[in-house]
Amino acid sequence: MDSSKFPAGEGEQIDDLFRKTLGDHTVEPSGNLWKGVSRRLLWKEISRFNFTNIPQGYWISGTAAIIMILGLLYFYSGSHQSTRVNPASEQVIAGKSHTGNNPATSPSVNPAEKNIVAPKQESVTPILHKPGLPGKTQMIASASVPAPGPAPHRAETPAPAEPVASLLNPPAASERWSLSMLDPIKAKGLTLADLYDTIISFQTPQGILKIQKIKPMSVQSFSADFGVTPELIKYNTTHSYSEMNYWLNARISYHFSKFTVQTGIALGYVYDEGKYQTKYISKDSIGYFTSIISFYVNPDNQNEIIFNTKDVPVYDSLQHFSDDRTRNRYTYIELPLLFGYQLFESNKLSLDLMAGPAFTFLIGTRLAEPYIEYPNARIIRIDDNTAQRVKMNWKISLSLHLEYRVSKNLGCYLEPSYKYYFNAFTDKEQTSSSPYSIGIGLGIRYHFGKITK
Amino acid sequence: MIVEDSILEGCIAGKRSAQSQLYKKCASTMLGVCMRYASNRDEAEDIVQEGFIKVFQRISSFRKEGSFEGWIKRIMINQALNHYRKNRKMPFTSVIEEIDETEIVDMEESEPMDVIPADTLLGMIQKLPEGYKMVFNLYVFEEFSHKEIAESLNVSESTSKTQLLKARRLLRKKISDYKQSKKSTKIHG
Repeated sequence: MDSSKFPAGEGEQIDDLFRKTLGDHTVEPSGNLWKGVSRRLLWKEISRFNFTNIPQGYWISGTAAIIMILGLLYFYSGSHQSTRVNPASEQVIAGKSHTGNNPATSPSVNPAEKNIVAPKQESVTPILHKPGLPGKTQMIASASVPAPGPAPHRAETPAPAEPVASLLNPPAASERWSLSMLDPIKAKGLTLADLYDTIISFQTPQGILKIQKIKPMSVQSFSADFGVTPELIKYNTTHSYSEMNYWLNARISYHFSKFTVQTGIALGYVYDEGKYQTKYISKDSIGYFTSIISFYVNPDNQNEIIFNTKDVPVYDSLQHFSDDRTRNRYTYIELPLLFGYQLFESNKLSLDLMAGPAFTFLIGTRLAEPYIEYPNARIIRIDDNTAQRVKMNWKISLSLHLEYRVSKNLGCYLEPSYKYYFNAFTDKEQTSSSPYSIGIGLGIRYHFGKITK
Repeated sequence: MIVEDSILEGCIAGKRSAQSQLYKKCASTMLGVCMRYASNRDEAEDIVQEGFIKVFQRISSFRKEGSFEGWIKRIMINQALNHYRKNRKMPFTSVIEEIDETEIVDMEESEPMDVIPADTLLGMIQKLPEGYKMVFNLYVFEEFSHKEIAESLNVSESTSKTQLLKARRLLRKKISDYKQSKKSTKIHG
């Protein structure tokens, strides 16, 4: 039967039957439906987590908690790690004894914490012993004051004194000790930072104070980083725009001398625009006509008729196109290979310049569906014009790793970085429009036990 | 279906209790809508679940210019269309079984059509081939024109017309069969 054979009006009759019966039909959902919705909402909230949507209260509490933890760690490390002046590489052993007795070396005394103050009178002169291999052992003393009788615990038989100036290089400002007890040394233009492997004896009114700074023995070590890097990525496609991305980093570093080689893995949430074109129809005014409401003959001029009119708008279904944008999320795995050089190091701080390539692999795509609401309009069609992302990108990364040591093994870091992508994210883009990003990494670094050669 | 402003504001703030209240108010109506587009209850609940996720994500964009029911219903229908597009396996040219017109009882001769239960009619729609079902729903319930249906489903206008015609014809046969079976039940009962 073709359409012409369909009984007249029967089609509408069927339509009406279904429309009347099912138009307001309701069906009670099963109990599991809300559980599913609720579970999905929770998951969406977790997956949408980023640093911009944390409530202010959480920010304040979190910051306060971090400050407290760091403070406790600092306090704890300060009161228990007494021998370390430069935690990364140096060690000081200090001992104190009464005049005339063998000095009993106290274990691991941090002079700064103990606040041992040596008198500044001219009679107090540091006496320096250079322990180590017998052949290298030497005693350095000023000409005016002889070395005290008992030898320090690590000193070998004293060797003839050498002029101090000939042994020492100009001290680095960062390594200057701020100990008041060292004023006599400073007065002579020396700093303890230069006196590796040297035992220094002080003649004080309370007795003889001995300090030894041991030359750093560590030449290799490993560390592990865990952190997060929020970054602002700048896209240069048909128009320039920026998006916030988030990377979770787990890296391991090998340190030797002042150099570092670092690798690891990072999980990144990268955001980009989705582009859609929506076609919709709405009833819009396309003009108006003048409608006569009433008319009457002009009482002053019987030949004239006066019309009362009003403008009536005319509507028609008009077709519109609208460009809409969504925010898509892409999940990447990053494999970096970075090389670093230590620019600066002090008791608590260190600064490394890191650079190297990194490869990113697309492992997941979450496309946001467009939602376009036009009151009194009917959406006809939505075209997805979002470009397909390439599976692999590579980029060069340049960063400054600023670390603050909170304890012997633990440090927290701040890492501003710049990354330049060498290939575009999508096939539609030109290479010259490669994006770049700037970010600030935050995290902790755990230093494993040192390896000595 | 009246949704209080306090519930909408709670949903905008992301409060789960408000979301639960909104769900309780709308779920049965929306499931009724989605059942027409789905082949079975499980599929319909999947569509409703996805639809509610979108409702809660985008509820802040509701501008209160129209009815909330209309807004949420539009989301559900869009979700149903998306679901159909994703799972569309066959083009619209599917051919249904030939209907023997002699078997179709003249409706006017039989009892009034409005005595057919809603669930039975719903089952008839659900059993329609996917393309017929979409066109029939959009034309009858959402009052789309054939041109709009053609663009929504990415088919030609004539295909839309043909699908509607075939859908009606098939439904007419199903109604006829249903009435025949009722009659025979009465006779034998």
